[in-house]
This record gives sequence, structure tokens and C-alpha cells, in this order.
Amino acid sequence: MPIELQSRARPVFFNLYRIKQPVTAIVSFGHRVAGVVLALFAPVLVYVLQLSLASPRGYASAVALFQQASVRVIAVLLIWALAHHVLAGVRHLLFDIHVGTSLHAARISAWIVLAIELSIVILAIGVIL
Amino acid sequence: MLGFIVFLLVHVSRRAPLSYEAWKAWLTQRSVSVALLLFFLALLLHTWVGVRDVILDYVHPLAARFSLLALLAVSQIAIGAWVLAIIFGFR
Repeated sequence: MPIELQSRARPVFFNLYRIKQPVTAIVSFGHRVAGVVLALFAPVLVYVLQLSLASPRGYASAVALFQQASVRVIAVLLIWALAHHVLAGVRHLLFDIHVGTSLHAARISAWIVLAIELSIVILAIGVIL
Repeated sequence: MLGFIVFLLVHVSRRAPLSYEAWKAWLTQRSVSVALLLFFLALLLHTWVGVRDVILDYVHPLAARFSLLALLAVSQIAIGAWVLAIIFGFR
């Protein structure tokens, strides 16, 4: 290895859990993960809609479903996913119209997304759980 | 889509439909069912774009890619047909 590179040897590892990710990467990846989670749950939501409209008994079952703690926890997680996806999505849309594209602004908007999303999740936990 | 979600939340918090009849009556109102259909149309197009991007990013072999995209397209259309059936009542 050339002398210059040897004296500035950097650690090389491919274990993702050991690489320090910038906040912007976390927000962006979270946007994708949240999207996939929401897409997977969409049919479930359609099913619950169908159940609630089918008959009074169906409606009662749908309501009873949401009394269960496990379902409520899932509901909070879905709200978290939706909040993150929407907020990070708006951030992406702003990038598309060239708003906040400097590195500094991007890092700030990433933290703003996380802050708003946290408040939404706390609110959701308060309302649902 | 966001507008619809906000509208839904506002309506439910203001006057939560507490019975099957109230819920069904509200949802089958022409304005609400059209809005719901538009919401799902937008949602299905949106999920197509999103999941397609994920598939294109991570799945490279052509056969697997084609099959997954086809599966995605079919499931989106199926969900759309399902929502239509739910809202217009023929099952």
C-alpha cells in the first residue's frame, strides 16, 4: 500500500450496524421501510373496512378488534410508519423543487422530520393506548 | 391522499359514528364514497410506484424481477377491484 494511504489507514468493515449512519440516511431509509410496511398492511385495512360495512355484527367485530391491546400497538406502529413516510416524503418533495438541498439544510430537515414524527407518535400513544 | 386522511380524522373526532347504521350511512354518501375511491386509486398508484422502486433496486435477475412486478401489478388491481366491490356492495 502506498505510504500516504498507510499513514491514514481507515477501518474498513461492512457490518451495517457498525457504520455510523448520517441522520439523513436514517430518515431516507426509514421512508422506504415505512413505505413497504404500509404497503403490506394496506390489504389488511381494506379487509377491516369490508368487515365494518358488511353487517352490524361485522361492524361490532371491527370495533372489538380495536379494543385488543395487540391491535392497538400495531395501530400505533402503523401511525408511526405513516407519519415518517409522509414527513420524509414531503422532505423529498421539497428537494425535488430544490428547497433545502444543501447538506446543512438537509440535516436540519431530517432532524425536524424526526422531531415531528416523535410528537405524532407520542400523541398517538396517548390517544390509542 | 393526505387531504382525505385529515378529512377522515377530523370527521371521526368531531362526530364519531357510533353505530353500524351511522357508519354505513356516512360512508355510502355519494361524496364520501367517491372521495374514498379516489383515495384508494391514489393509494394503489402510489404503492405501485414505491414498491416497484424497491423491487428494481434490490432484485436484479430478470425472471425474478418480472415475476415480482407482475405479482405487484396484479395485487394492486385486485385490491382496487376489492375496494370497488366493498363500496358498491356487490359481493
